[in-house]
Parts: sequence; C-alpha cells; structure tokens
Amino acid sequence: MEKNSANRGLFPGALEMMILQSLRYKPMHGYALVKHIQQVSDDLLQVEEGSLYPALQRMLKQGWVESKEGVSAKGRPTRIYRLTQAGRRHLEEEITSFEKMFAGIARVMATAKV
Amino acid sequence: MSWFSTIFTRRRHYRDLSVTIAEHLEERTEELMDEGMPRDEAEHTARREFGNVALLEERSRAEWQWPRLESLWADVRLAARQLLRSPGISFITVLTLALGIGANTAVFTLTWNIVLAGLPVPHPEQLVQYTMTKGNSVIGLSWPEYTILRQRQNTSSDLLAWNSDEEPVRQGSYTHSEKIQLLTGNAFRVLGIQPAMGRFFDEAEDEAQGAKGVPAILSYEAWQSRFHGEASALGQSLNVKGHPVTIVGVMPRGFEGLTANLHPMLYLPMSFEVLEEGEKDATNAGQLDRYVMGRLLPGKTLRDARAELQAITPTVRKEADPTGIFLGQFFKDFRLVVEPGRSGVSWVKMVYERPLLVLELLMVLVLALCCVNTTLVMLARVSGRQSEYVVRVALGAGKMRLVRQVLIETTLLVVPGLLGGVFAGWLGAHALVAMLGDRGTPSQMDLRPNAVILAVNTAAAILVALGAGLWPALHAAGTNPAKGMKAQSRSLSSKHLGGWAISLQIAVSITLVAAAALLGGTLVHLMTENNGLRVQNAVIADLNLNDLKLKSNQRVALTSRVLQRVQSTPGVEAAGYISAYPMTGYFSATRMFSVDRNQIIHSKPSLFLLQATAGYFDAAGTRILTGKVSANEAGAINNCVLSESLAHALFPDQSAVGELVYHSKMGLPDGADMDPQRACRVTAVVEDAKFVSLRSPAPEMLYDIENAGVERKFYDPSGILVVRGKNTTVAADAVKEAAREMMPQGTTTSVQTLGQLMDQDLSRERMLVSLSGIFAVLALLLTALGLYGLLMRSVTLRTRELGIRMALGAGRGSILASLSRRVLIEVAIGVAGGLALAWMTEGVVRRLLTEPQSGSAVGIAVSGGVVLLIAVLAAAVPAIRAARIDPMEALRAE
Repeated sequence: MEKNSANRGLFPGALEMMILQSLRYKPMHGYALVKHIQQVSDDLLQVEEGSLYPALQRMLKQGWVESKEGVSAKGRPTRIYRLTQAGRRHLEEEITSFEKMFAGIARVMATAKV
Repeated sequence: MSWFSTIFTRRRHYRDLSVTIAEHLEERTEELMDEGMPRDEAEHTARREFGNVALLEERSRAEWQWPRLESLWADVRLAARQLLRSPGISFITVLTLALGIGANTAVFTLTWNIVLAGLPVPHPEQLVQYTMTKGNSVIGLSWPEYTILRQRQNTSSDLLAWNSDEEPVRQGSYTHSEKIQLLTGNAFRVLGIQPAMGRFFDEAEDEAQGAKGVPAILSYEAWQSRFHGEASALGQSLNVKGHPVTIVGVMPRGFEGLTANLHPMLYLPMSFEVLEEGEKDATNAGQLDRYVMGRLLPGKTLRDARAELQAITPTVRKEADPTGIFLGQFFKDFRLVVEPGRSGVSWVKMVYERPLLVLELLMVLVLALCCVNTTLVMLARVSGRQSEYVVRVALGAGKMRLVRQVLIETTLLVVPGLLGGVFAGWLGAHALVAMLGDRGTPSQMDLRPNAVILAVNTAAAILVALGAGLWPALHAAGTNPAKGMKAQSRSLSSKHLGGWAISLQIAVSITLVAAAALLGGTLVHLMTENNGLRVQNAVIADLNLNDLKLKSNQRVALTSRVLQRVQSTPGVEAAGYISAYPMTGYFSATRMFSVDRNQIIHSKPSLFLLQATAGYFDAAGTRILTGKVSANEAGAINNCVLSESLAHALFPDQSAVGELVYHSKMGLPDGADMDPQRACRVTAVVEDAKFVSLRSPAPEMLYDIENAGVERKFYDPSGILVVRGKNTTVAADAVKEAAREMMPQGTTTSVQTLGQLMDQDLSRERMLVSLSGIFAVLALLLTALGLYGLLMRSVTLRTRELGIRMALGAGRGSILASLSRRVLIEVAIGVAGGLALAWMTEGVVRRLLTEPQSGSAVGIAVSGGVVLLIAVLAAAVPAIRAARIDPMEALRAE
C-alpha cells in the first residue's frame, strides 16, 4: 500500500500539521478541510483525497482529533472533525520543530546565494 | 487507545468514513452544478476527481487494522467459502492427500524407527560396532577376539561386549523363559546411560565372576510390569537358570537393549556366562557370539577405525585363535568388520532396510501423483473463476494477492489432508508392524510419534501444497483484464490446461502398477514354487520342552510317547520331529567330509546339520528321490539323509546311498581320521528344501536320523513336531490331544500351520506387496479421476462450440475425434514415459532387493495395458456425453 504517494513533495508530517492547524481554526468535515486548505493557500496547495482520509484516520487513532456527528453547510449528515487537547499539544510541537527546520533551511539557502 | 478498544470502535469509524466521503462527493457535485454542469456530468466529474472510492476507503480503514493479517484472514475466509461451494471435489481432494500423506507417514514411521533412529543413548552416532561378516551373514566375535581387539585398538575410548540369551527366570514361584542380555562391566560407561533407579554394575563386579553375588539390572518395562514400578524391586532376588541374582538397578526408560527390538527383561554381567558354562566354554575361541561396540574418541572417525582394524586384524585373528582351527578354518571366510553402531545389532534393520528404501522410493511417486492431482483440481477451479480474477484485477488487485489467494486455497486442502494423513499413517504404521511377523522378526516395536516424523511429513505436505498450488496460482496471476473480459462470453478451450498432468499421471501410474506387479509376482513365485516343503495340511508344534526340568532320557521317552499318540490318531498321515523350525532364518554350519569311490576327499565346511525322525520327510512333504529313509539299527552306524545338492557335492558322480559321511575332527585335516563312530551312513537322498527361508537358496543339508525313544550321544529331542493330516485341523487337534494326555500339567504346546510359518517368513514380501498394491490402486484411482474430471470439464466448456459444429453438420465421429485427439497424444506421451520410468524403477528395485525378483518386460507392458484400460474407461463417460450433445439444447444453453 502506497500510503505516502499523495504526500510526495511535502515533508513528512506536513499534511498532518496543516490539517491540525486548519481544525484549530474551526472544526470541519472532510470536504470543508480540502476547500479550506486550498483557499488559504491561494490554490498553491491541493490536498489529495487519497491522502486526506487515511491521514484523518491516522490522527483519529493517535487521538489528535475526534469526530462527531454533525451537519454540513448544506444540511446533510456528515462527520465533523475537531482538534483535541492532545492534538493541540502535538501541533505546537510540530510547529516549533517546523520553524526550526525552516530557519535552518533559510540560512543554508541564504549562504548558498552569496 | 488500546488494541482491543480499537477493534470495538473501528466499526463506527468505518461508518463515519463512508458518511464523510459521501458528503464530500455530494458537495463537490453541487458545486459543479452551481457552475452550470448537468447533474449526471457533475456526479461523474466529482467521482473521477475523487478517485477510487473503494480503494481509498480500504486504505483509510487500513489505518485501524493489521492489514497483512486481516487481508490474509479475508483470503482464508474466501478460500474456505470457495472450497465449500464444491464440497464433493474438495472432499475427494482432501481424501487423496490424506491417503498420500498417510502412506508417507506410515512408511516413514517404520523407516525412522527401524533404519534411522539410533539407540537411546547420548551421541549414538559416535558408536561403532565390530562383527564378523560373510555376505549377508553376521555373527559376533569370540571372547578372545574381543579382549585382544579391546587392547589393540586406539580409535575408541573403550569397547564393550554383549550377547543375548533366553533362560528360565524364577521370580518367587513363577518361572518363565525370559530374554536376557549379558553386558561387560564397562558397557554403561561406554554407552553413557544412567539408571532409572538404583545403580549399574561395574567392571570389578563383572570380573569377580559372581564371587560376591550376581548383580542384575531390570529393564524399565519389567520393572513396571513385574514390580509395578516400586522401589522395593531393588535388592530382590531372582533365579536365572539355577543361579541367584540380585536386582541392583533399573535401566532407563526407552532402553531396550543393544539388540534392536529384543526387549530383554534382565541385564547381567558378561561373566554370568562363566558361571553358566564354565570358564573353558565361555572363553572358547570358537564361540563367536559376542557383539562388540565402541565409542569413537573425539576426532576419530569410522574411517580411522576401519583403517586401524585392517592393520590389526591379522594379529587379532592369530592371537585370538593360536590353533587357527576356528578363525583359520571354520570361520575363514568371515571378515572382521567395523560398522556404524548407532542402531546396535538390528536384525529387523538388516531385513527391512532395503524394502523400506524401495517403499520410500515408490512413496515419492505417490506424493508426486497427489501433488499433480491437487494441481489439476486447483487449475480447474482457477480457470472456472476467470471472471472473478478479471474483476479483481480490474479493481486493482495485485498479482501477488491473486497468487496468495490460490496458494491459501491449496493450503486449506492440504492442511486437513496432512492432519488426517498423519493420523491415518499412525494407525497404518501399527498395522505394518503387525505384518512384520512374529517368529524370527519382532512383533514388539515401540513406535513413538516424534518431531522428526511430524516435521518430515509437514515438509512433504508443504512441498505438495507449493507444487500443487504454484502453477494454478501463476495461471491466475496471468489474468489479463482486457482479454479476460472479452473471453468471458466465448467458450473457453481446455487446451492449455492440464494436458501435461495427464501424461505425468499416466506415467507415474504405470510405474507404480509395474512395481506392484513385480513385487506381487515375486511373492506369488516364492509361495508357489517347489521349495521342498509342502505346507498344505501340515502343522508344526513346539512342545516347549525347555520349560520342563527333564533329564535327557526323560525327554527322549516323553517325545516318543507323544509321537506315537499323534501317529495313531485317525486322519494323521505322517509325523516326525525335526531339530529346528523351518523358514525362520535359523541356520547352523557343520564341517563334514566324504570320500568318494575314487578316494577323493570332499570337504563341506558349512553344511546344515539337522536331526530328524524318519517320519519328518513325509510330514514336511520333502520328497525322497533315491533310497529309503530308515530308522537306525541297534549297534550299526547311524543313518542319515542328504539333500540332493549335498549328495551331489559329496559324491559327484555316483549314488550317495550306502556311503559314509564323516564329521571333521578339530585340528585335523579332513580324511586324516576316518572314525566310523563319527560317521553316518546315507540311506536316502531327498529333494532340496528352502529350510532356512523361502527367499534364500536351499542350503546343503544333512539330516541325522534319530529313532524316537532311543537315547544317543548328542541327541537332545527338540520337541518340534511336524504333522501332516487330512487337513490342518485334524493334524493340529491330534497334537493338542496328545499333548493334553501326555505332557505334564502346566506346559504349553504351541501349534501353527506350516502355511502360517511360510506367511511369516514372507512377511517382508507381503508388506511390500500390500503397500505397493495400495499405492498402485491409489495411482489408478487418481489417474482415472484426473482424466475424467479434465475431459468432463472440457466437454462442458465446449458444449456450445460442439453444438454449433453439430448444427453445421459435423458427425458424432468427427466430434469424438476432435475431442480425443489431444487426449490421445497426452496419453501416448504418458505411456511412453511410464514404460521408461517403470523400467528404470524396476532396475533400482532389483538392485535394492538383491533376492531374485520375478517380473520382466512383460510385467511392465501389462501394467501399461492396465493403466491404458483405466484411462479409456475414465474417458468413455465424457466422450459419450459429448457425442450425445443435442445441438438445439447446446445452442440455447449459455
């Protein structure tokens, strides 16, 4: 099973981080998540359904998010994903390490330019 | 989240997932419709953008699973469902596998126990065994040979010696004849065993020659059965042939002596022989009955021991028998050899090792056949489910997944086959042991299931599963979705399926049938040829005189009375005593010589001397060729009877009747001393008889005639009585009646028919015949089933095509021809291969079983014919069905 094929191009954990960050903004169902990430990234990032749903199941299993019955904007039954306390902590850690890594990469890139 | 709560909550997650994805698609569709797309197109576009919903759901669900394990479980369930859909075929397949594996278990259990398993001592592979050997005859060493060899050799840490005997043992008031093994005091050290209880005796005790009492070790079996496994057995006294012995220890469980399957009750120091026979006899250089075993020193090999033995043999032979009478004359042809000693002395191994190898060889063929048969069944299943594979491949199933699916299905057939087979084989092995006969060959054999037997069979089963499943699996994996979809509506031809299997099955069947025919022919030949003994209507009885404490003259008188009583019974035609049981492998060698009319001395170093009363020949059915068997006259030279071959050897070109045959005198050349007191006068020549065994050539025999009731030096009545009557019942009843009247209270007389003795003598052949027969029948059955199934399937699949052809005017003849052409080619290839394979197998079998085997090219040809006939019969039903196809029906049917 090719779990990570859809994440190709992103570093490991990037998709999770973006999902968690989006859910911190507000609880959402699957399609809304796709739209949300697409919008806020100005269409730069397109989340593939093929990676989104397995990733959501993975995070459910880790206990970072939880799902609740809810209704979609159109009033049909769906499942709303919400960030848990553990998810919030994990997100903070991820962001910290991401920022460190990003700073590192930026410095390398800056040096290489000279 | 712990794993088990995961299992309970995951169903909810699966449901949530489906709901979310459904909503996802729905929202996307509406969005597209908002952009102005019609609903149909919007739904389609949404789905295409989303991708394979089923696959994605599966992949998402996989997050909650142990994917490998669970998909395996799903495959197993699918396989089970598939197998249960055609329970009949599945059952037959399991049954054939069970039969194949069962036969393998049975044969291998025997092979393991008889040939492969070593003595239950540490590192039996280090043991080496010294014997005196001449061809197939194996005897022991003399005491001097042992002691000198023990001093001279440097490859083993030490040499032990043992011999076995049967003696009356008294425990309290109960006396019974028991098997006893005598061991040198160092035996336990060399073997490295520990007593189950008490202690063993040591070398000092052995050398003391019973001066401080004779220590005895009880076998574990006897300890359990006679002493109920109680510790009080230690210190108890037994009486062995009049000598008191004291139990000091118990042998470890499973140790059954150094002679395989002998199961001695008691183990005594070797010096017990001195007590019994006196120093002179016990250490006689001519008594070659000590078996010698050593344990190789670290770093030494059997090859070293052989080289060393070759170097020291001349010295050993010379020092052990300075006169040269025994080792230089009587046992001149016996070579001192050293062999692997892991099994101890095992007569059953000597007799059955080669037949078992033959059976193992045939077994491989049977397993191959089972394998092919299972392959055919699986091929049929796979090709019948082409459409299923097409759909699965189209849905994204990997090739490996299909291969796995087929292999799992095969395994589901093989596992019950393995379990059933091992169980059936277990029972079968016991049945086989019972067939090994009980006189001459052992009836007691402990068969223990063990890891090796189980592992070998499991390995065989796995090989069968892999062998049977791989081809169909690859066939399934080769499914091409595009081609498959198209092919679905068309009738499939069976051309590419299983043709080679028919050839293979027929070839193997012919080989197995030919092997069975060869072995069966040999048995029939052995049973029906003129062997110098006519077993019909004759019985043989043992009065068991050894159980009685009688003086020689009492024995002579008693046996004479019994004989007279038997002879006077109405319906009894002849009766006589003989000094040994025929057809049990018993042989003794005596040196005698004759002087012919040209004064030429003819020496016979190893003729077979027996004592018989005059009535024996008519009773046993050994025909008198010339002369007359007559009783001895008082004061005259004793009479004797020669077998034809011996008469010819001793008196090459003259009649032997009336001539004298002399016993050789120790240490003197033949002819130097012609004492009439040591001679007998030939009164008759009788036909050669296969007295030793039906499968060995008739020995050169001299029958010393004894008068029942007359005492004579060296005459010790055996109590073995052969009686011929109107039928065996009359003869047996006559003996029983006589024994009841004449024999003292408490004695037992065992009566057997000569036919039973013959059956026991041929038990090895009968075992080979029954097993190879079962194999052959199994082979024929599998071949018939395979051919029938394949053709029937082909006819069913081509019904439509055949219908069209018939509708277009094809005759039934041409339909049959087109159907059978391929099969005929495959059968022809099979027959040709089979004849070649059978011929090769027969060569191997003949080489393994050195005795003359009957059978020939004719046997192989007939086997080919039989298999062909079965093949035709199996093919007839599908052919008839094809010929009866009604074009209308066929075209209407889908």
